Amino acid sequence: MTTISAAELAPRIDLAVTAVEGVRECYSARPVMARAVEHLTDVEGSLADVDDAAGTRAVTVCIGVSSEDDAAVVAAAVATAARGAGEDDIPSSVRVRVARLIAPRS
Amino acid sequence: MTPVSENNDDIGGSGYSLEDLSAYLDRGRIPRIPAVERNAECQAILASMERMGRLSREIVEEQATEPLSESWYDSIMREVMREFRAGRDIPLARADDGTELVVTEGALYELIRAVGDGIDGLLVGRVRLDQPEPDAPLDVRVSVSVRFGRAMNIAVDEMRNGIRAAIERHGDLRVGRVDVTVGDVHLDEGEHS
Amino acid sequence: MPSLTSATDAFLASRAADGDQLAFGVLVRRHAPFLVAFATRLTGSRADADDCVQEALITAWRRLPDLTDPEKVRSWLTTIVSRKATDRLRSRKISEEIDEEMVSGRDDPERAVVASSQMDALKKVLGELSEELRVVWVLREVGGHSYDEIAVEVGESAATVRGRLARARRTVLERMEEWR
Repeated sequence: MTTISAAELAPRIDLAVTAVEGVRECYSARPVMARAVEHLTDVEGSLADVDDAAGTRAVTVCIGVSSEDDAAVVAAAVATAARGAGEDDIPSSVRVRVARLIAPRS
Repeated sequence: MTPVSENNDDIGGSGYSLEDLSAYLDRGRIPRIPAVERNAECQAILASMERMGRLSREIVEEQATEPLSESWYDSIMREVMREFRAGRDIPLARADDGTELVVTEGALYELIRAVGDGIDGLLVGRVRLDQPEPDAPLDVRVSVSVRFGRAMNIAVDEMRNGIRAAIERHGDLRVGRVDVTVGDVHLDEGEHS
Repeated sequence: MPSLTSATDAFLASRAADGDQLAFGVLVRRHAPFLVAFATRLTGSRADADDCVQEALITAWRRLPDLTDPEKVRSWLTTIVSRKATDRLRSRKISEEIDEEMVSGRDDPERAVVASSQMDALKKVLGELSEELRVVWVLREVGGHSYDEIAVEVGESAATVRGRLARARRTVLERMEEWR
């Protein structure tokens, strides 16, 4: 079984996460410095952060959820979707960060 | 306006130069120098300097009345909208090993502001969240401005309950104390939301 | 929800520091025109002023949580703009040494106008001051900064600032006298 690289995995995670019910918005999960560099060069990378540095794969996803939904339920579904995006056996730790609880459109 | 001679360092025989007067003006004329205050030429020059300063401020204020275009504001606000303040991560719910579900402080602040602003007659000011230990209930501190004439205690109680309900809807979050400080009173401009 | 547009500076700055982008937007609209006018006098160029103020406002958004006295947000913003403007003047000077054309190429149309009022006359006089003198003038008379603050902003001693201010005042008084 081929191992999917971090760079290939991140956009797949983005796709999987956007499709989860209850996800209103997706944000960049990458560390601030990386975003600052992207801003300077005007290159938009993936939103999900996939970090292989410590020897295990660490995935971080940052989302916005409606304030009317239970954010924990949506976040749990997002974690499952993120794990499924890789289709490989590499164990990863997944962190889902809810960065906005958005008021419903009135 | 009194002419200033290039070669005369002593203004009106006071014993003080233009540079001295300039610094004296900027010190707010404290401590008072009688030789300057009693000297007509010095007083005239100080008055001219003050007038030129006022005129400079008027020049800026005049330009400031010109409105800036919408596109001028667009690029700033676009950048600001991208850089929202997250703050700390707060654990949202228990999950399987290897999975962390968190909500940011910033998300909860926005939620609290929405609840408070949504209550008739209230406007939320500062928000602070404290979690004394991991997984402990969250203590909330909010300052609000109340519209003149609105019954304060009722509005504040409504907000307290609203904040508790809005936050506890999510995962394992629990709210401990909600401390509300009424900081301001505001008037209704008659604008509808 | 009541409108934020009539809230005080302190109130808006507190909310913005906590992350409310709407409150920050209101603050920006309230103060930007003044900041642009201030930066225009400082840099002598409206285009430079626009850039400096926009950069300053984004910096302000990031650093608002550090502002200990939200009431003072207006003068805090002015200080950030001053720093951006003096930085820009410093780097402009480096390229001006190579290209003298740029010095007279300031896009300030007021320089060509015949002064019809005392205010117009002063605008012209300020526009003709050397950059060194104009900057300390604007920071002192419009910005209200102290000698020590100006010294840090322009990278000179307070004594030098004192001397430049006096020279600026001498020049302004003489030229305004000529206009009469």
